[in-house]
Amino acid sequence: MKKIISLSALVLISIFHFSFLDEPKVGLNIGDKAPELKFPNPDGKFIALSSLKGKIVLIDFWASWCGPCRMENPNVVAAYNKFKDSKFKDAKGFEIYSVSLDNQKERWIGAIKQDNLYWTNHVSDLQWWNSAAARLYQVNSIPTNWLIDGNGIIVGKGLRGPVLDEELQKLMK
Amino acid sequence: MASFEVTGGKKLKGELVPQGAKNEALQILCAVLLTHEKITISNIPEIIDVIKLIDLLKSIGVQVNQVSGDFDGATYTFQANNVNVDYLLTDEYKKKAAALRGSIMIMGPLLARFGKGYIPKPGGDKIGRRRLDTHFIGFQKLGAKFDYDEKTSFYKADSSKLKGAYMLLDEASVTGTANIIMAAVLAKGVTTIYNAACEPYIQQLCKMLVSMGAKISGIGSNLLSIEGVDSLGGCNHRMLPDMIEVGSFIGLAAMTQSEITIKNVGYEHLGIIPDTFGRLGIQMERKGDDIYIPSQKNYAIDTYIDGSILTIADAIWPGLTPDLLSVILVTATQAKGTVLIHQKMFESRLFFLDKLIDMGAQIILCDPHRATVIGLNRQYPLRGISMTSPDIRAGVALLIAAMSAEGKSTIHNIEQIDRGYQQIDKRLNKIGAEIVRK
Repeated sequence: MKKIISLSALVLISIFHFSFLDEPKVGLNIGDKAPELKFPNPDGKFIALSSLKGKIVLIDFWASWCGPCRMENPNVVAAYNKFKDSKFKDAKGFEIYSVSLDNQKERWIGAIKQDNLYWTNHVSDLQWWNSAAARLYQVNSIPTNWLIDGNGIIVGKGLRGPVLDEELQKLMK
Repeated sequence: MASFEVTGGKKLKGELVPQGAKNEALQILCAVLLTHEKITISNIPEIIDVIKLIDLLKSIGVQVNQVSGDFDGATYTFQANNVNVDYLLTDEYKKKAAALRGSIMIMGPLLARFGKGYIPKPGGDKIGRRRLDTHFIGFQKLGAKFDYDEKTSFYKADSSKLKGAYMLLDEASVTGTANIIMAAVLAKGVTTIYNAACEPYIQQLCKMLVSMGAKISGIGSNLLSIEGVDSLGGCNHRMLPDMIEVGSFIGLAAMTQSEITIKNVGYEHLGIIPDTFGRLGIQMERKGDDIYIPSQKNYAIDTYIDGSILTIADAIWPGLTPDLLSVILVTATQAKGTVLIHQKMFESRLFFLDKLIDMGAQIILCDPHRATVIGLNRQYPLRGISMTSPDIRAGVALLIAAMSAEGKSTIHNIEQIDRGYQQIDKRLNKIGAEIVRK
């Protein structure tokens, strides 16, 4: 009996131990936990990245004044249309968390409409390249993006063109 | 030859904004050749080497436009949709490219996109040998054929299609790594570069290429893996602040007992630089992305834990950049204590210190690589003298010495300073310096 108790204690300890070890570090590389973002949407309401937990999320850095980002937008919209209600291995649904490096609110809102970026999670502190989100993610080139799973773990980054679709496909059931 | 007349002993007070990083600019500008789409780059330092490179890009057919920027730092757009590779064989190109060391980095993108590249033997700093073997061996590993014509001093490379390969670089050269990365992004298959340079400017290049659609992993490490893609697209890119300038301003503030806030320094990319100045005893405070340096009369050099004399040596990133050793050496001349400066990478960068000795600094030049500085602890200021600037970094170090000195100094050959620091006289005069360009 004693043996069993000590054995189960050992098992418990090791479970604790390993779950502690499994807690991934916060970082920007694949396998890291994506740093939290919480910034205002066009209405001034703060949206946290963590509020999208449970879904596959594309953290997309862009700006209305960035031509290549605007050219990339139809591709992002297509991915959203295709995957937003999909079932993934460890997540249900696909969301986009768009961080804009705009500095003029009207242009930002105008570009969201013009490019039909119809998802709800659009944020910006209107600080251009000095955007706190861009500093946190060390973004000095756009377009650029990170793909995170339902637990906020980074599973892809810099997914431009058809690669975005391919990566999302890989995460499906 | 222009010169600066510097009236020393002025305390400065105010804000300085570092320019965009020169060492990043040269490779980022060459990367525009990798796509036919438009690329916008902001915070470009408008210094001679950068302007020359932009001019070189124009002459091979890149459309360049300056965008009126609402913000600090120049912004340009580039579109390489009509590149004339044959121009590379003309005498005019040979002249332009030979005058500019950074021009070597157009080779990688040209090979990748057009299958050929020509470059005359480049010039640049006279601070020891700068070999180009790392670049060329890398290209050869990717399948390029290489010739060097000794008569015309022309390097010529040809390859119809580059193929990914494994390579272990003989030295972690920044320009070499950049050049090979730019060739590999459009090669067929996977390229692995071990012992790659990993400093922030290489990370910036990699991130820009990823933004353009390249597949690169291992960014920030010395093991890069690059999976070639068929083509790349445009992007918007912003240069980092120049870490050498940030470091120079810290040294300048301490030497001249000035109170300076350095704005938007890109702190997370400065590596060991703030700590190194901290070891000289300089007080500073990080405020968000700014560094605040209070006016301080004395600063005491740290010793090692066992009490022995501190050594400050350069090393490949994440070690201390060799480009700041001259500034650190000058700053130490007024500190309390002794430090050994060990310049490992270049053999003739310490020779400028005989001018500092003329100014009254206490320095022993041990050999071409090492100098011991015995700090004066402000017992007396340096004396103004007339001197000439041998290279970019020594130039700015001498400028700092002159600004702290008693009386007037004249620095000749300031083209060497202008090569690295954009309108340094105007920017420093704005916060209280007295520098006259003659």
